[in-house]
Amino acid sequence: MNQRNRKIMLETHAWAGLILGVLLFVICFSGSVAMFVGELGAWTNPHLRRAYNPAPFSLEARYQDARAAGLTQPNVFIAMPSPAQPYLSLATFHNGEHQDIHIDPHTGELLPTHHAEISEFLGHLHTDLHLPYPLGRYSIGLSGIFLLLLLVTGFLIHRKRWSELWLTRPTKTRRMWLTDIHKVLGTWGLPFTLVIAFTGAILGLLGFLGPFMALATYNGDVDAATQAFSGPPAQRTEQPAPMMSLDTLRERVLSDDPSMDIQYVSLREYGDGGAQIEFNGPARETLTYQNAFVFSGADGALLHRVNWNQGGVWHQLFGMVTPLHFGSFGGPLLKWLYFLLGLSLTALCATGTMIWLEKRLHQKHGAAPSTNRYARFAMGVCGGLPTATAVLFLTHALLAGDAPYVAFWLTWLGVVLLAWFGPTPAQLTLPLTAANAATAWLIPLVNGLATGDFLWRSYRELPYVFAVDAVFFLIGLTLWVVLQRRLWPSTRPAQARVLTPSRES
Amino acid sequence: MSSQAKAVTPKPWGRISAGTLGGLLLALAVGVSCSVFWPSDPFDRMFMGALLFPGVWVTAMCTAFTAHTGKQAWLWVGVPTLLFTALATTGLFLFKQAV
Repeated sequence: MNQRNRKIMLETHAWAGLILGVLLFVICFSGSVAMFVGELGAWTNPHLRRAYNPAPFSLEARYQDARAAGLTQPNVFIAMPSPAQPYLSLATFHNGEHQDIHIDPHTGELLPTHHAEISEFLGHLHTDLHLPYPLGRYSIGLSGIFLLLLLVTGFLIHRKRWSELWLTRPTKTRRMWLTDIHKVLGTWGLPFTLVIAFTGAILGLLGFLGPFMALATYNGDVDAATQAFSGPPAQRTEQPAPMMSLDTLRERVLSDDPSMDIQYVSLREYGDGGAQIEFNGPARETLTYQNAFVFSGADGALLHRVNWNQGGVWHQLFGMVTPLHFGSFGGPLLKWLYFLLGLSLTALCATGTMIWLEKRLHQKHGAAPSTNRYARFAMGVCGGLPTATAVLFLTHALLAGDAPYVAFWLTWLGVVLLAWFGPTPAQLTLPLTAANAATAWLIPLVNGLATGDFLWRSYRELPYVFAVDAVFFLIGLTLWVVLQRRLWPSTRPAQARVLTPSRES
Repeated sequence: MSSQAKAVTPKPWGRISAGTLGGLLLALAVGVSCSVFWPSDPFDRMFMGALLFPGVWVTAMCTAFTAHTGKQAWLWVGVPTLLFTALATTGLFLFKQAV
């Protein structure tokens, strides 16, 4: 690549990163936490904490228990027990009302209903930015496209990518230190970033792409294409009919496909002659999306089957998009790796923005007011999100209802306003880091005080609760070490500037 | 943007619009063409179009940004877009006739 094109790639990388760096930080950070949508369930719901029992149980008996407990709507969604959520969850949506029941799969004991999940809240931030569909979803998809652009341009401009895989040169300035970290994180995380950006772009823009891709065969009718793929919807006949046993149908699924890990069961128009019962789940130890068996509820006939392992190469590749994005195909170790890589991608977004700001904030002739304003905005949004997330966990352990979510938004808004009107970003870094360290340490402590599940107890009995508390403890420890040792180099005194109100006006 | 960089990349809006807007149209045209012509089952063709979409768009952006002028960028992206659109439209027409 010639010098001119390299310079253009550098400019593209800088401007795209500047415009989208803060948004990408929010998306990557929230995604890193929201990935544990199932695993966080035990921590957020102390009443549902129990050991996982993998012994077989009667799904039919538990469903009848739920019906006896008042879950009588014809359309029911059942989440099967898992090590992270060792109970049956049954949910219905009827006339805009949502009803949830949790049952012990072996004893049939009704468990307390929990309030909304932290991971779902952060998941909505990750997938929709808490904006109405499709505005938020398409924004996320476009961010994925531009993350891909950043990746390609970053790869092209970084000539010494293989020789600079390790931080070897002495760091003299903060900008040099940030640049080294940015290069190392970018190079090591390249395959992960490629996968996340590519799959995120497709998942985010799927609603937009669907009508175009369905033009040829389905005249642009996405619903028709979806029905052809996932099976026809249940048609109510208004003729009551006895239903097949869920246990019998489950056995048929597992005899047809022993590798299927049944995660969800959907009952549609249950009790009617047109009822459907769908079993859904991936094949164990394969990189595939949810396969499905759809049966007639009345006579047990197999109405439709979805098998992502069959079909053409593009069909099978598309089936890998969702598990690749969520890291749901390789067990807990892969999820931890995704978590660490997700945080490193978050740090990549932050360091990219900081490099740009370092360069402009410490110029000899001083920074432009717009640069100062952007530095404050970036500090507020990026510094405020981890603080607000820690407050969300902390308040969730103490308060019920929507109070934790109100605390989340108020904390984030508070940090944004503080960064905008208060101390400079340089002055705010230390107190904000100290506040984050303190909050992170308080979370396992408060959880222990509120539920009795301190680290030394959950270590033996509740691995998912222990993992959450231990992560927060380690985050607090890391931030404390960072604070104590001041790991980042200072800006050189000759170049150091403190933002003054007159420059910012 | 530095003055040196400005000298290399004057008036970037033509190239930016060609890369972003033109690239989007090109990626859609390529995707629809694939969903019409790729010799496989309907879902395979649909998924192919969706999977190619991000790569085509990003490639178009990188190509358009390195053009010397906005006009050249629109030419680089616009011509293949028109070709693929014509291909997809013809294919869709023939497909409908056949059905």
